[in-house]
Amino acid sequence: MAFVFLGLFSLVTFIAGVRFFLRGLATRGRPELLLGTHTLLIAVGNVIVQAGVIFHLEASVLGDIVIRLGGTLIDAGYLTFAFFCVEVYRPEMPHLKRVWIGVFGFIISMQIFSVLLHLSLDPAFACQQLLRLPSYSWGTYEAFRFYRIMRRRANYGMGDPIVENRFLLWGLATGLALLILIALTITFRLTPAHWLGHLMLQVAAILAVPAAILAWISFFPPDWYRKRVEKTLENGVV
Amino acid sequence: MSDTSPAFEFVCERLEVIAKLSRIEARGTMRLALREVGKNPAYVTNQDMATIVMRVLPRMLQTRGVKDPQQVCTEIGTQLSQAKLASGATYLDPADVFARLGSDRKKNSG
Repeated sequence: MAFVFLGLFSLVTFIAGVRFFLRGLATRGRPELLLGTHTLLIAVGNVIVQAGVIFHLEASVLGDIVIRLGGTLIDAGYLTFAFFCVEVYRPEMPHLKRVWIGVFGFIISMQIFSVLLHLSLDPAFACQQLLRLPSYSWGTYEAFRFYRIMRRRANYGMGDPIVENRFLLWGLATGLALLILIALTITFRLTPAHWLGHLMLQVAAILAVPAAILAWISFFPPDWYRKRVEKTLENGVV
Repeated sequence: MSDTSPAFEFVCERLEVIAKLSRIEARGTMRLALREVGKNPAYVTNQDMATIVMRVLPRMLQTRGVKDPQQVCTEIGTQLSQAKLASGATYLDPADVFARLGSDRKKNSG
């Protein structure tokens, strides 16, 4: 059941990512392209990693390289998410991109280092978390920060209830995705055979359902939800 | 390049003249007004600034003891709308990006 829930989350975010990517291509909108690329890179990377694990490729050097390539694609996905945050929330600080690129370069160098030295203790795994966890933590913080700003704008009659609600839903969805990421990181480290690894897998699966719903509703709200938000929030606007 | 937009400079200068604030007071007050609604002094547009002057600034001036803040802001707003200012650096507000991501037309985000 856990994999069904996690699969649902992956499917929803993948479809949303494809829609953003296509819209970004059509409108040349960089935020849409970055969000779409983020999702697609993670999806492709995960397929490669999972295929490598299913076919037991870890034992061979070539297989090890393939799996690490998948992991690097996933990391590139998180890099594009960090770029999205820089471009949307902090356009006045473009140098932040260099910091993220530096972290990404460090991870790639650790991947190469691990392959060359045939390390059984994998430093790249720990290094990957330097990109994955901070990028989603930052995205969550920025979404909630801007939700508060939208609340203040509403007090001055400058708000937009749908967009305000979107920041809230997106913050919650990103926050849940961060918790899922943390839970799955523990599971991957310990393996699902370990009691804590198994527990974390279940936690991730349970969180995946609301995360999928929130991620979808935040950008593709049904009409009834849109009307309800407008009615509820506009009542409080000056 | 200046780290503040032409609209920001214009309103600060008008605040010094009309509200009799010092340069530091005027700029500090405007920065606080912009921060209140999440706008960046470097990128705030003329249109955004006009909205902020009319809706956010009166409350800020009132707390600083400026006499008749609504009248001051109306006067600055009128002068701002008549001024021919350069558009300054381009910037897409995060609210505009999120409205676009959901395919909404923004109604009145300022």
